[in-house]
Amino acid sequence: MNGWIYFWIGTIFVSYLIFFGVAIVVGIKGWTDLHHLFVLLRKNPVQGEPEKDQ
Amino acid sequence: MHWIDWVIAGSYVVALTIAMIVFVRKGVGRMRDFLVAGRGMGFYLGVAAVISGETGLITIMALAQEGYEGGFSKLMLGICFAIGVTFVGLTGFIIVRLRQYEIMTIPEFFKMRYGEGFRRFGGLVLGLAGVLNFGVFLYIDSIFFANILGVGRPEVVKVIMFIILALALAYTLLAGMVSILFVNYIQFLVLMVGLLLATIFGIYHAGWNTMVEVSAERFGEAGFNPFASDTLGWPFIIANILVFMTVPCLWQPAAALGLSVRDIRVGKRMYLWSGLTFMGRGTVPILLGIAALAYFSRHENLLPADFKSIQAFPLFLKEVLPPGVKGLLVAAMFAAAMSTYNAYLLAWSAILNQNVVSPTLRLKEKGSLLANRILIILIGCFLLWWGLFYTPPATFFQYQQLTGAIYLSGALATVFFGLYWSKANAAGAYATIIVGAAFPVASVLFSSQVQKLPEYIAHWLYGWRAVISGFIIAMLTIVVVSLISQRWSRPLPLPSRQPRYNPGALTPISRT
Repeated sequence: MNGWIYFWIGTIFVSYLIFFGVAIVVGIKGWTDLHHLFVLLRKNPVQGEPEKDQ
Repeated sequence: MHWIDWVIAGSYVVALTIAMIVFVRKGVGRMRDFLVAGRGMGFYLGVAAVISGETGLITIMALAQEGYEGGFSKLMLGICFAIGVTFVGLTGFIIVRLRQYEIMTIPEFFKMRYGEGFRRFGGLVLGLAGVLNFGVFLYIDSIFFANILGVGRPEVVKVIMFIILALALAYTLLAGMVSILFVNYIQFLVLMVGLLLATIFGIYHAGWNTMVEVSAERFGEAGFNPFASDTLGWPFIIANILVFMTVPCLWQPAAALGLSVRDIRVGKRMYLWSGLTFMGRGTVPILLGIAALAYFSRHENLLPADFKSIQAFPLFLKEVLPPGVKGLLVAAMFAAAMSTYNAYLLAWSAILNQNVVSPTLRLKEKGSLLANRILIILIGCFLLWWGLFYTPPATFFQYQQLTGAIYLSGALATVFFGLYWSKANAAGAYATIIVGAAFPVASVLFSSQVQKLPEYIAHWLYGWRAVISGFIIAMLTIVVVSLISQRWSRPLPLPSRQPRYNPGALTPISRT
C-alpha cells in the first residue's frame, strides 16, 4: 500500500504542475488569439481575408 | 454565504453577460460562423476551449463523487484521460482525416460515406444519445449551487435549475461558437484560480494524513490499489482509455473544436497540450472528493439527514472556504457550467439540425439558423424535464460513461471503418449504430437477467467490461454485416480531394 501512496503523491504533483503550468501559458497567449478572432470577425464576417498559418 | 461572496459571484455573472452582449454578438450571422466561428480559432484559444469545455461543473462534481466513493485508486482515471487524449494529439487519430473533409458534424461524414439516409438516421440516434447524456447536467449543477449556498432543499434546487437554464440558453443563443470560445477562455482563467484555491484550502482543512487514514479505513487496499478492487482493475482502465481516445475526435462538443481549428497541425498540438492537462482534470476534483470524505468522516454532524454522496463536494467547500474565496469559486463553477452548456447545447442541436431537421424540411441558410435556435430551446426544455423527474442510477460518472457509450461505440466503428476500410457500407453502418446503441441500454435494463447467465458470459456484460464489449461488438458488427451485404449495398468511395466550396470560412484549410 505504501508504494501506491508514493505513486499517487507523484501523480498528484505532476498533474498539478502540468495543469497549472499550461494554464498560465494558455491564459497569457489565449488572450492574443481571442483578440485576433474578434478583429477578424468584425472586419468582415462573410468574406474575411485569408490568414497565413502561424 | 458572506455578502462579499455574493458581490464577487454576482459581479462575475453581470460582467460576463455584458461582455457577451457588447463584444461577441457582432460579426456572427451565417450558419457556418454560428457553428465553427469561421475557423478563426487559434492554438492557445483552442487549448483553453478543449480544457474548459470538457471540464464542466458536471465533470468536477461527478469526479469528486468518484473520489468520495473510491479513495485514491480513483486517481487512475486522470491517467486514463491523459493517455486517451494525448494519443489523439500524437497520432491525429480520426480527427485529421475528418478535418480534411471540412465537415461541421460527424453525421455529415456519414452522408459522404454511407449516403443521405444514413446521415439522417445516424444523426438522429447520435443526437438523441448526446441529449440523453446531457440530461442530468442541470440537476447536478443545481445541487452544487444549492448546497454551497447552504440552501440544499429540493424546491431551491428546482428554482436554481430554472435560473441556470435561462442563463445558459441566453448565452448560447447570443453567438454560437464564438460565445463558446469567449466564455470558455474566461471560464478557463477563473476556473484555474478557483480550483487552485479550493485545493489549498481543502487539503489544509481535511489534512493529508487524515485523507490517507480515512481512505485506508473505509476502502482498505482497494482505496489505493486500483487492481485490488472488484469494480476497477484492467477493465476500468481499458474502458476509460478507450472512451477518452474517442471523445476528442467523435464526441460532438469536443470534436467541434477540432473541426474548428484553422490548421490540422494546430488541432493536433491542441489535443496534445490539452491531453497532458487531462491528468489534472481528473486528479484535482478526485482529490477534493477524497478531502471531503476525510473531512466529513471527522465531522459527521455537519452532514444533513438525507445526505447523498453527490452533495459531499459542495458541502465540503461550503465548510472550508473563507469569505471571498467561496464567492470566487461559485463564480468559477458558474463559468464551468456555462461553458459546458454552451458547448453541449450547440453541439447536439447542430447534429440534429444539420443532419435531420434541415435536410428533411429542405431549409435554407436563414431557416436553418432559426431551426437550430428552436432546437437549442427544446433541448433546454428536455434538460429541465429530465432533471425534475428522472433519478439516475448508481454514480453520475457511471451514468455519463454509459450514455456516452451509446453514442461512442457506434460512432467509432462507423467513422473508423468508414475512413480506413473501403468495404464498409451502409448496411453495416445501420446495423452498427443500432447494436452500438442497444447494447449498453440492454446491459442496464436486463442486468438482473445477465447475472443468471454463465459467469464467463455475464462477466463481459456488466460494469466496465460492458463498455469494452460494446466497442468490440460494434466493430465486429460493421465488419461482418458489411462483408455479408457487399452485393446489394455497394460501399460509397470517399472523395479523394477536399471540396473547394468553403462558404463562410475565413482561412484556407491547410493540407496535411
